Amino acid sequence: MKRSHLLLTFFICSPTAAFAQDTSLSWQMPMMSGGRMMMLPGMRGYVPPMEPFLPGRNLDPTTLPTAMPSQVIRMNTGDTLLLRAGFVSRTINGRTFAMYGFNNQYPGPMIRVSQGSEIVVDFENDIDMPTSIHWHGLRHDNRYDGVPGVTQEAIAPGENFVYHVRFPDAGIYWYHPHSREDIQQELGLYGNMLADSPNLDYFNPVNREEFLILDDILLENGEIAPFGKEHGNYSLMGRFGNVMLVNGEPDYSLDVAPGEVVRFYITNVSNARMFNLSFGAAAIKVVGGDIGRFEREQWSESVVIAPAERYVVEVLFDRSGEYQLLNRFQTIDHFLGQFYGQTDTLGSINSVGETPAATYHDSFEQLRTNSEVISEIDGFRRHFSREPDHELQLSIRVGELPQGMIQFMSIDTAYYAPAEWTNSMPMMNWVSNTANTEWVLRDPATGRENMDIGWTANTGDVLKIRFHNDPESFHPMSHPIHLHGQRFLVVERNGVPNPNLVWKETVLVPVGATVDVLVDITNPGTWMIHCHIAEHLEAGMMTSIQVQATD
Amino acid sequence: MRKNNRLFATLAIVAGFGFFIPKNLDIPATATASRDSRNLYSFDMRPTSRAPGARGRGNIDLAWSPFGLSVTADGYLVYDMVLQFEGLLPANRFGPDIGYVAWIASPRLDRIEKLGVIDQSNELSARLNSWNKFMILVTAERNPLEAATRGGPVLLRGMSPSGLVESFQSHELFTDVPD
Repeated sequence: MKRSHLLLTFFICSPTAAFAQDTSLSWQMPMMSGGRMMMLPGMRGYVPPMEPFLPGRNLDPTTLPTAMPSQVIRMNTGDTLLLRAGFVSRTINGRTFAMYGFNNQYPGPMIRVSQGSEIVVDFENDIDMPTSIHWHGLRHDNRYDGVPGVTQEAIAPGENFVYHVRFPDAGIYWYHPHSREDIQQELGLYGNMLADSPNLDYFNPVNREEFLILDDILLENGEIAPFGKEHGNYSLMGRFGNVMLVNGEPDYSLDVAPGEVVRFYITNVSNARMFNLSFGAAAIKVVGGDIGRFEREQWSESVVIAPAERYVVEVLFDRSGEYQLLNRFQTIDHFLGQFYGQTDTLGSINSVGETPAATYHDSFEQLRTNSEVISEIDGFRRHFSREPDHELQLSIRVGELPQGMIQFMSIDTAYYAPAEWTNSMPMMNWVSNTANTEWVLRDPATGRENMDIGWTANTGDVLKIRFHNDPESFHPMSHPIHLHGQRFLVVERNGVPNPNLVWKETVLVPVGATVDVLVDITNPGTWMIHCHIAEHLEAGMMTSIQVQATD
Repeated sequence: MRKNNRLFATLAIVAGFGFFIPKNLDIPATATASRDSRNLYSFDMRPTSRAPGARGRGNIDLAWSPFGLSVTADGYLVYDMVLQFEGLLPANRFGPDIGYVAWIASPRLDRIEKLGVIDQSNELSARLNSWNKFMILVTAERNPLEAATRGGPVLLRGMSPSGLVESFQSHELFTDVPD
C-alpha cells in the first residue's frame, strides 16, 4: 500500500474527524478556487467539527422587510438616532436571502456629522444573537466602545443600549458589531460615519462625493455558506467571500459626467479580504486615511486597503466611457507552485453626458502639502527613532488539525507571501476553527499572550509599539492590527521610515515584517488591540491596554 | 523536472560562454551566508565556477506607498531591491571593455531584463514592480553600458525568496489517491 493510502486510512479513522450529521443544514465542502488547488487526500468528507449555523435560515425572506440602499443621515450634537439591527431580505445575484441590516438598509445608515459633534444612538438588537456596536476609529468615551466583556455586556436579542458617540477628529469611520463579527458583519451589519472638518478647504474642491464600502460574501451552491455555531471556522485565513460587494451590491454602478472629479471615501468591511482597487486607468490622488489627511497628497494607480482600513481618494474621469472598478492581485497556486494574477470586477463608473459647468481639473492636477498635518505631527517626531516601549509578536498555535493539513502545511512552508489576497487553501481554511487554531499576540518581554498581557499607560503618554509578524510560525499571514480609542502614526517598517504620514488606528503588518507605530495616548479606559480579520479575532488574537487619566 | 530544466539552462549559459573568463583565476574561496529560515526579504547569490570567490546578497524591502504596501494596479507587490557584491575581481582584469552587469530573469529564463552595471561600489539598487519569482544573474559583458541583452558568462546567481514556492503536482500526497 502506498504511503498516501496509509495516510488516507489514518485520516478517516482519526478520532478528531467529524462528519456531517443528517440535518437539514449541513456543511458543504467549499469549492476549490477555480480548480487550482487540489483536494488533499483524506480531506473529502471531512467537515468542521461543530454544528453549522445560518441565522434566519428558517425565515421566509419574502416576509422580511426588503433592504434598501444606505441613506445619508446628517446629525448635529444632541441628535438621537434610533438604530435597529434586524433581519432583512436581500437579493444578491438573483437569489434572495434573509440577512441582517441596520434600519433595513445595506449598508447601514451613513451618519454624517461635523467634527466635534456628540450624538446619541439608541440601539435596539432585533437579531437572533447577542451583539454590540463598536464605533470604529473614534476617540470617544470608553464605556460606549461596544466591546462585550470589556466595556459593556453583550446586548441580548430584544434589548437595547444607548450609545453616546463623540467625533473629536475629522475622518471617515465605520460602525459594526463586536460580537461574532464573523457572522454579523458577513450578513450585513456595518455602516459608515463621516466627520467633516469645519475647514471648508480641508479637502480639494470636487464635483461630488461617493462612499465605497468594499465587502465580499461567501455563497456555496447559491446559498450563504453556514457558520460555526459554537465557535467560528475559517480560522486560519479568515472567511473570504466569492462574491464581491460594493455598498452591498455585486454590480456597483455609478454615472458621472466627463470631466468630473469625484472624492471617494473607501472602507473595507470584509471579514478577511484585502483589496487592490483601481478605477480603470484613471489617475488616483490619495488625500486621506483612517483619521484625517496625509502630510502630502500622492498619486497612485490603485488603492490597497486591508480589512477595517479607510482611505480617501480623488479621481478625475476625464473622458467619456466606462471605467471598470477592478480588484487585481497576484496570488499563489500552492499545488502548481506558481503565482497567478486574478481580477475581480466590482462594478463600473460610467462617464456620460455633458461636461459639468464647474470643473476642477486644475486643482486636481496639484498635489497639496498639508502644513497643518505636518506641524501637528512635528510634535511627535522626536519619538520616531527611539526604542519601542512595547512589542507584540504575531503568531499562531494549532491543535488537532487533520493530518492531511499538517502534512501539506509542514511541507509548503518555505515561503509565505507578505500579504494574502484570497483564500488559496479553501478546504484547509474551512475546517480550521477556534477549537483547533489560536492566533496569538505575544509580548516577548513578559511571555504573556493575548488578554493576559496587561499593558498600562497614562493619558499624555506617547507609546512606541512594535509589531513583528513572526515568519517562523506554523501559518504566518498578514494581519490588520486595530487599536481602539486612540490614534497612531505608522513611523517605520523593517527599519525604513514612512515618508508620508497620516493618523491611523488600523495598520497592516505583512508576513515577516516589523512595523513600528507611535501611539498618541489621549483617551482613558480599557482599549482593545486586535487583528481585524474577524476569524482571527474570534480565534483569540486580541489584547488590551488600560489607560489611566492623568490631570 | 522544472528544477532540472533550470539547472540545464544555467549550465548551458555557463558552458556556452566559458571561453570568456580565464579558467585559472586565483580567487580565494569564501563561505556564502546561509539563508535564514523563511527569510522573505533577502537572498544569497552564489558563484559559478567562473568566479568562485564571489558572493552576493540581495535585500528586497516592500516599497512604501500611502497604503503601507505598494502594489501595482495589476497586483504586483513593489519591492525596493539592493544587491551587494563581494569578491568580484576588477572587471578590467579581463579586458579594458569588460564590466559586470546584473540581470533579473524569470526562473524559466523566458524573460530577462537588465538591472544595471555593477560599479566600484559593488552595490546596485532597483525597484521591482512586475516580478513574483525571479532570478538575479551577474554576468561579465563587453561594453556593459551598451549591453542590452545578456551575452556573457554567469558569475553569480541567486533566486528570490518566492522562488521557494514549489509545485506539489507530483508529490505523493496528491498521487493515486481516490476521491
